Amino acid sequence: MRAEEDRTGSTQENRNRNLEGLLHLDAVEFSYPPTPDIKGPWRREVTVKHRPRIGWALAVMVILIVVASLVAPPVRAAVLEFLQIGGLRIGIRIPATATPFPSGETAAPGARLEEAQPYDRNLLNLSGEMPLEEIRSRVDFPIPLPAHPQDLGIPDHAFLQSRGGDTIILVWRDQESRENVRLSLLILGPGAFAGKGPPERVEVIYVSGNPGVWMEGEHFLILETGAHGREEWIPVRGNVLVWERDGITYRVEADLPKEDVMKIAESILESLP
Amino acid sequence: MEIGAFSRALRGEAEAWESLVEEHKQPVFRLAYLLLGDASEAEDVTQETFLRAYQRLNRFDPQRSLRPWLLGISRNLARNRSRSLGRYWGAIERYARTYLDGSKATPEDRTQSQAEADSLWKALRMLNQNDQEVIYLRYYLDLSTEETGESLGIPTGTVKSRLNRALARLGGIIAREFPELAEGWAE
Repeated sequence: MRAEEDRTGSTQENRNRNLEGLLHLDAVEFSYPPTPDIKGPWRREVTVKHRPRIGWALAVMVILIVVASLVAPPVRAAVLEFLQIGGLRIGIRIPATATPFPSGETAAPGARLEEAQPYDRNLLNLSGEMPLEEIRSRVDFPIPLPAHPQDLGIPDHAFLQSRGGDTIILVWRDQESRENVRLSLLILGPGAFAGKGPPERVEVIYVSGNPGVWMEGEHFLILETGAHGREEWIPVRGNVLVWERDGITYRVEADLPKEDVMKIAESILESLP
Repeated sequence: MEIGAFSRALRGEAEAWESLVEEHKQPVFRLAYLLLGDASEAEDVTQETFLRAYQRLNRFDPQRSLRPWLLGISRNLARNRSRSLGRYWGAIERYARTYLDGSKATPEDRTQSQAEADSLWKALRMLNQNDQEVIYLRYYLDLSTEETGESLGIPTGTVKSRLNRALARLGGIIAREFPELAEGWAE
């Protein structure tokens, strides 16, 4: 027993030494961005710059039209702007040829998502699949399930990824067309994040009093796929509702109108302890 | 260096404080960047770190080393940033800029060493925040065990045990998710 413990201990020590070598090498070669100039503004002791913020009270309904075109030159000439609402930052693109918001639909041309998608990636090919009960035993926050629609049932797939924190993705397949996703629920635990955007339409809303964002139009969600957790841009074709409560971020995606997705979101919040 | 410049900064000499900012801004920025993964957020954290440090100069013991103290402030500010919903949307900005710039490299563009560096970076990002902090401070910013403990506000002995556990967890992630990184390792 002791000999085995000694072997295990020395194996771990060897592994740690190997890791230290790898880390030292990576540290030397790591490519940092240039260190910014901190001295200049310091003399005037200005406050730390904050990106423009709009309070929730003032931003009850902000509608932004975003072009999701991926290839056409007029869109590549577009300007990328960002709007921050409280702790929320929304990326928007104002194309040179598009009709400006908030009057209506964007007029910019664009390539179809399929043309810009070089890899086979979707929500059914994520890394970290395991039984939902195992995920529940590993994380320290509740995983609520939607009670709407009534025939939804339990998810067909459950994934757990670590992206700065526990990231859970629940996927329900379409019963009539099993290769398609009917609904997905993404839950970001404390410290976790996933990237996405830019959608075609963004609307600030409230989900049972919690601040959130409604998005429409094709865009991308960044998660890890495959056996090795390769980070991929997954095309999003459904509508999306994102909101935060008590430090947990929830994202529901479904090819449903806003009112139905809101009911799904509200049923999720109602099932929380 | 530090005690003289610090004393003058405490007396309100801007040039003295600026010389200390210039001396320490790179590691402060680099720690913020390692923790947040975003240059503009790291810049904000760096600016706020030195502002807060300046406002609290009279509470700092000049007999201690300034860098661990500054890195501790940077680490706390980065932690607060990473907890917010804004962090989720900060990722939108970062990925959208990458995508719109067309600068996202395809796998075919990357060399093997770049691919390995990417894998190691992903493995590190899979660690919890405590593990990441102790690894970045010890290996990437090259602090001693004692300085690492000062930055984190923990005893030196705790640094060593925390480091061992972080390395063990990193090794587990690599073995499970990125086994190609562990090829040729001595057992």
